[in-house]
Amino acid sequence: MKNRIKLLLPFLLLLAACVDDPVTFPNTWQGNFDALWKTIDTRYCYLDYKQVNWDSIHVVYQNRLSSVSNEYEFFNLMGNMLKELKDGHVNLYSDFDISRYWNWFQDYPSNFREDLLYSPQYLGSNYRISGGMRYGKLQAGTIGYIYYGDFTATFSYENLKYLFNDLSDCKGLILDVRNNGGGYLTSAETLASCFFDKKTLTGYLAHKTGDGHDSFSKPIALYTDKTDSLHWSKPVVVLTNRLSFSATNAFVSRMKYAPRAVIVGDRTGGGGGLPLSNELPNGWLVRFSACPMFDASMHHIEWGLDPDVKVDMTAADANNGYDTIIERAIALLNGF
Amino acid sequence: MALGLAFGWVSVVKAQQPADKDYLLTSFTTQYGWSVLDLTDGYLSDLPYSGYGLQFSATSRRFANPENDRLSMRTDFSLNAGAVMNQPQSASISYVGANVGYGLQVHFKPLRNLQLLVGGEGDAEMGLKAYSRDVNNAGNMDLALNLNLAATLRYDLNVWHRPIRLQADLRTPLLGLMFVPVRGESYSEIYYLHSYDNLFHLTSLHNKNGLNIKYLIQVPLKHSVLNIGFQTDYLKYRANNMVFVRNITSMQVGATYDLVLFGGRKNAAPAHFISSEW
Repeated sequence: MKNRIKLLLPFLLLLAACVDDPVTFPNTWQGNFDALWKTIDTRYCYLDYKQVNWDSIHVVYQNRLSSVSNEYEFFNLMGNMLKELKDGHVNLYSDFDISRYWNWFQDYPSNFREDLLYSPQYLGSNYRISGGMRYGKLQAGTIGYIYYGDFTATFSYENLKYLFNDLSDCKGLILDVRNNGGGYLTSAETLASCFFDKKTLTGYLAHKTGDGHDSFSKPIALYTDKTDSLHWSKPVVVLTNRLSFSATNAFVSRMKYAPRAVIVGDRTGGGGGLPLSNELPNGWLVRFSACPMFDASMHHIEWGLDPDVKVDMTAADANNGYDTIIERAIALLNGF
Repeated sequence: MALGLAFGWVSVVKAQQPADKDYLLTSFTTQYGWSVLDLTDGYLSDLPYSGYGLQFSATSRRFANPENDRLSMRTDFSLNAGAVMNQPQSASISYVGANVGYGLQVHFKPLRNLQLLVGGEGDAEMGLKAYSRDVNNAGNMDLALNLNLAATLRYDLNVWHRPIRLQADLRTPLLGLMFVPVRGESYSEIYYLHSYDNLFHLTSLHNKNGLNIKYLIQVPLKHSVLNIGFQTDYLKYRANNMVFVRNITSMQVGATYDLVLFGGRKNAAPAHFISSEW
């Protein structure tokens, strides 16, 4: 007995494995195709809302998979399958390309000309830059103008304090977020809060809780609170176009409820789903809308938001050096 | 490391009190290891990640009572750090994890030279993962409280007239509480929107399985005991429709000190000191 124990003390401890293993796919074209399809099927948040028949799309693209002969064709096939979602937040990232769906702005008038913005008629060249915002005064100093083209260009309270102080003698403010493709939602909330008099319900957010197309959490209320130290108490006109997307879309959704705000320009580009990502077995990354955002009436904002005053830039105005949308904003502010 | 030193200092003070009756001796084991680390974090990616890491662990043990050499108290601290990559090597995760545990074990001696220690242990576990391929989730945090089954098997033998011990330590979580974020919900949302639904989950074998086994060969030296170890620490849990896996396989080397030096195992400890190790 003693000698037997001396030899070895083997340990065989088996535990009932109650937790399923993670689902994995092989690193083949079929495996990567299945992984991509499954990711969208279980995690993309707008399949029901957009009435996308994702099962049918699987059949269509599965049939095309057999004719793929190289990596580029495979990437194009996968990218085209994602384009069926018609979502600017959906991309496939490989080492050699990024698939994208850009029809949400390419099929519409641009409604923005940067050369006009920096012409002497508007900002000119003698403007200030603070926290990613370019600002100055129009109409003989009576109207403040801010161009904010990127919500990833962060700003501080000090930036905004100086900016608002500088424009405090203006009777109104134009906040131009055209061609602003989005960025940080926290920046969108912070900027919007400067225009509110009290804490206001401005939207909702939900998360997917399961694999089902309709498996969502209870919507979480999104409030926009006032900011005492940075309060703009005069009229503000927000300028939008189709390239006002994602976090900018969320900003405009909040500004719809600001007491003295008017949205002018074109319908925003949308992008109402918070993007997430997942990886495919070959290392490619798919970005997709995962968490839908709603306005305060629980309407989706994925397809964009209509302005209060719809204005398109006209070629005649542009040829004469005028930005039709800014001119309309000036007229509105002069009429307040 | 600091915690390990603190354990040691406290234990030295306790062990060096005047000996006019039986005193409990605290044994303190430190180990350093090199590990192969496998991680799957469903919050960050579906892909499994693999890489290497470093490990430090410290364990102290003493009998609960001088009159009772059947029940010992044990404290554990472990620290793991590593970097892992997915198989296509297109992204990486940096990982740091720590575990602090305290437990009680009952000593049985079913055979000569064989000891079986069985008991329970509570531990707190925390881990941080930083993901290089952020879209909206730049990282994830592991946070859990566990009640574990803890067992230790010791067998003493002589090899070439030298006492050697073979030891196996086993821990497996039975019950607990863990934090797992909702898939797609960022930490800033949790913080700013006070969105706390579905973050904390009671755990049992239905949603959390783990098995941590450490095999040790202990060789007494002049003033300490050399430990050479091999450890597999496997943990898998599911929550919020995501599966998480952590598998650490490590080779370790370290030492056990009785904190009062008796010149190795060939010299017996004075009678008024009672060790829970030997």
